[in-house]
Amino acid sequence: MDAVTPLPASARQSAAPETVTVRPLLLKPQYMNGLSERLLVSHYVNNYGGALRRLNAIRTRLGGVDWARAPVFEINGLKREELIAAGSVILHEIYFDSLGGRGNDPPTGLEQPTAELAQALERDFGSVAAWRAEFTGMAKALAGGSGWAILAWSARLGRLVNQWAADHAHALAGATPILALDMYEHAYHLDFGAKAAAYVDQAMANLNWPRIGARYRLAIGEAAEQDELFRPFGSPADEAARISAEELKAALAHDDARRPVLLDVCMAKDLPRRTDMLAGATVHAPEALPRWVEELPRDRPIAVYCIAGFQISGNAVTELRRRGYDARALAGGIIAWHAIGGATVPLDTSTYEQTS
Amino acid sequence: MGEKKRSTSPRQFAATAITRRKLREGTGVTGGPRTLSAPAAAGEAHAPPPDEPSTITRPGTGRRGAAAMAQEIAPIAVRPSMLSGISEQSVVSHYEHIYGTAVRRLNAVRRELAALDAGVAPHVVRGLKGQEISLMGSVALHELYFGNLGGFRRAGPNSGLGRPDWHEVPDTFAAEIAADFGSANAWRREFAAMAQSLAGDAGWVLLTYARRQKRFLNHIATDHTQATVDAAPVLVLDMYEHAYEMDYGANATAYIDSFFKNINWDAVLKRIDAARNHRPPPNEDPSSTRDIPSLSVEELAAQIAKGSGVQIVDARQRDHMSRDPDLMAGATWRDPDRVEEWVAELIQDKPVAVYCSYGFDVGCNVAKTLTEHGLNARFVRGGLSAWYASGGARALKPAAG
Repeated sequence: MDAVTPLPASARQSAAPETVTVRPLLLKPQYMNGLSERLLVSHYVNNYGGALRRLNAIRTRLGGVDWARAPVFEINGLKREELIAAGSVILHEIYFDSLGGRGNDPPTGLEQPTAELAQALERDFGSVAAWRAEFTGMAKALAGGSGWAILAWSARLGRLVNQWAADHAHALAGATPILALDMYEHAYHLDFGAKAAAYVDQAMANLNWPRIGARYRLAIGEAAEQDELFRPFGSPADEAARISAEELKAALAHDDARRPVLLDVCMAKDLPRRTDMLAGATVHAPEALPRWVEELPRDRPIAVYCIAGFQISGNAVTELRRRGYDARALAGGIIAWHAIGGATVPLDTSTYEQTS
Repeated sequence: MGEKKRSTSPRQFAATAITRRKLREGTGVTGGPRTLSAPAAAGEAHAPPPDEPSTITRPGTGRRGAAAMAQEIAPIAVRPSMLSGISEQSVVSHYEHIYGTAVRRLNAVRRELAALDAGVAPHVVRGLKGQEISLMGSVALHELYFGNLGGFRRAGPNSGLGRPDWHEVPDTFAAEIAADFGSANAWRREFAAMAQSLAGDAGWVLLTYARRQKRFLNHIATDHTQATVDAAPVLVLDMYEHAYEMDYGANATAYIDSFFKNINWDAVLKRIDAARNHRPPPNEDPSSTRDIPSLSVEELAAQIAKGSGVQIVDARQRDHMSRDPDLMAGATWRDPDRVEEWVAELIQDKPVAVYCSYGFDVGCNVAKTLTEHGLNARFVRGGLSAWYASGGARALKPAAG
């Protein structure tokens, strides 16, 4: 039940058929090129998280179905909803993975497809520009409604295809999505209103081509350098140093001795972005670690989180583990916690260190 | 869902909006074949524009041939600033961009269909016809949606809104809806739960009157084409995200609650009455009760294209004008409250087209005053918003001073 999985990530989801775990954001929502944090976080928490929660609820319900006796409309209804929710989850993960800058840097808008993918696009569409024109044209044609513009690899056709989808369940049989552009209105209305074309152009300027290229390599059966690309920037490389939102939720239900101590680390400049925290957490400044570290128990697990699970909690956990604490970083941060529907309380900064 | 008594003669009632539209087109006989002639559609071959309308084209006064299937923009049927919890910005964007685009695309698809020849590939026909039915659904459902909003203010300050004994379903309708759903509250719960189930997705929730079963039915349409056969939609809720993202973000629940407050039950009851009695759906053009010469935005575009020398007066109220950076291309703004001051500047023997923001009262009243001054003045149905929705050209407002 590891939430932060190296690729093939979408394949790994089906390895745990009972539940689907939340996938952390790889993009830094506050450092995007013309897409707002408000839009991206709302999209991730409400729409991606909503689909995830719905899918798990449907799976739970399916687990209780008496297949021999259940009325067909119930089976049809549940299986249809399962297909739609699963499609939504997977396509949203590919979408969010496809966006973002490199490392800690915002997207420049100047990135080009990796050499290998560029070659494939040329082979199958004539040129990268021709592919882009078809792909964006197809996306813009979905304005005012809903759907996905998908670049997929079809092994049967032996080529990349631009695939149109009017809902989460539309897919070219047997094809593997490489890049998915969300054309549901929740993907752009907050920032762009009805101007879908402006959104499409802006999203194209935010593409993370190294990750899309890696997806392509995996789709055609080649190995990809995975780990770095598909792990949130700055999160601990060691899997034992990470905890998923679902695992944390389960761990918090334990009795006091095994219950992890919750640490909320947040840079002073990011406090205005915050409104809430996990119940029982204490908020600290990451640079004041030497001052607050002494208060921590050495005999209990410690869960550290920040906003999105990048280097703030990552660095704190690395330092705590170096000092011998059993610390783990919450994958995806409080944003992923929100996405699984985790409860929070209003932010209390009374424990926050004054830094000058 | 027991089928009650079957209607003896199930009527052909596909495409309600088109039927309504045909009626609205008025005396098509005098105008000859008409195509959408908004400037955005320039470049295509147009049928000759209609002659200067010699009669006032009023909705509901005649039929037109099926040849020119041009879909006209319907004026927005609700005052966008009068809604509770749904902003003017949101509803105007919804009308001008989403609805307007659907109308323009529908006309484009129909032009392509009309140009097909016998050797056309089947997938082209299927694709275009699929688009056509979807766009027809979008156009009709949007018109119905705007038309069933606006009840909040209409209910008036003494309606009891907010009091514990206030009901969202009016008493006159509660008994009827209870007959099919158990109680008015049960109907509302089902309708709201259906809407909720579309949150973050796309679709419509409709209360329809099924003529075959002679009963009311709630249903979901996950796209513009899903409809119960031979049932008239009487209350329509748009659950596409464009309907609420601007005001509520992902909070669809708040939007659904607002929607119930904004239902214009007068309009809904009129639709029900028409559906039951096999009459065409009521005309919801807000200016349809005014007996003043008017023209549609398409007719105005045709007049401009013809070079009729029509003088276009932007008669939006000063406060509307001041918050908007642009106006109709070729128009001059004139203060609707000071007609006497500028009326003499108009050329007497050239026609005048007057528009306001949405085509409710201001434009009508100014046109009326101008007519009294002996001018050949008409107001533009649907106002500037309809013009923009039809893809009409806009110009930057001249700098003040």
